[in-house]
Amino acid sequence: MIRRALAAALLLALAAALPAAAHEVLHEEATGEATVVRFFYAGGVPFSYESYEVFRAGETIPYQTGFTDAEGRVVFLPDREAEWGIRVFSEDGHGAELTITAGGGAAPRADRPPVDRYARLLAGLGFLFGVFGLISLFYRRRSARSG
Amino acid sequence: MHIPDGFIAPQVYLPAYAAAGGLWAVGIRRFRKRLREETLPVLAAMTGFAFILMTIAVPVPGGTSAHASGVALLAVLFGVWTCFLSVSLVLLLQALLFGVGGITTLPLNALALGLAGGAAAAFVFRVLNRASEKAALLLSGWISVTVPAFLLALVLGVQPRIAHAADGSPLFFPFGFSVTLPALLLPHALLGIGEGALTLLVYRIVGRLRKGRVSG
Repeated sequence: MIRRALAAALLLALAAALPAAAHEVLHEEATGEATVVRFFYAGGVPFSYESYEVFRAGETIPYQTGFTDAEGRVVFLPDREAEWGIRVFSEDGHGAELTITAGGGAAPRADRPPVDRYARLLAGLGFLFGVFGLISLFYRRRSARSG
Repeated sequence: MHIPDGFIAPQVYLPAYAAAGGLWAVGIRRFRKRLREETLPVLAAMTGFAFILMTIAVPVPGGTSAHASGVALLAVLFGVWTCFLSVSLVLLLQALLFGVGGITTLPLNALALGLAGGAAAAFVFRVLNRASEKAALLLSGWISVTVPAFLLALVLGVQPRIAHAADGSPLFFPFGFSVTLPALLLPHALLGIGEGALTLLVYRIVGRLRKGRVSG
């Protein structure tokens, strides 16, 4: 009688312990093709160890969050070929937000090269001087009319 | 320190657009009234200088970067309203050509850098110039960078409080005041030393050019 009671108690205890197995963390290894997006400041300094979020297009809950690595990279494995939103941000307000097509072997895409940056700088300066030139022209015509 | 697009809630940038729009109109009216043709070439050069300065990222301790602005020079040489208009134009070009700063955040960046930074610089210069022009220029340069940093830190830091999902997760920018204030103020306080030195140097050069005392 006592042995049956003990056996029943042991079985009950084992049954009660079963949910604990759900807390065990398991793993499986796999290989896949990752999407890598590198972020960096204009001078080439990596945007490293900063926060990021990856979203599937149209979703508000992030697919992946984390910190960029030492090279300023966000690395994730898309689960489908789709548009993916990536936001990176630092505590002082630096950051970027972009949408890329990834998954399914999408071709890499890069920001415009540094040489183009100088061309845009010159274009900006040219625009500024042009604006002030127009203001000067406007001022002269106004002075000529009133003078 | 330009805030990019996507970091600020519409309930902040939409009223900022309304405020900045009104102030731009006031600025244009004052600029037209006070406009003197002989100052236009120098104004064009200083605005171009500010444009170049704002595209150069200076690495600062902490792994981030900041940039000088030339705002103090514009404010001290041409007045606060002209400074505000010039800086707004520079910020617009930077957003369109370089993606630095945003279009939605343009009024916030312009109000902080151009108007608040310019006003602080002009005020400090006017007060201190009576005692020492050198000290006035150094400090006006320093404050032209730290005041905007403080204001933008406040704007960023308030985002998690005013724009968050039902579960409390921030929709735009996740860091509060305790993070944004030191993150922005400390690097810009350092950078401000360089800005002050640059303000002094360029002001003296412009002064000499105007008086025709440059040799060679």
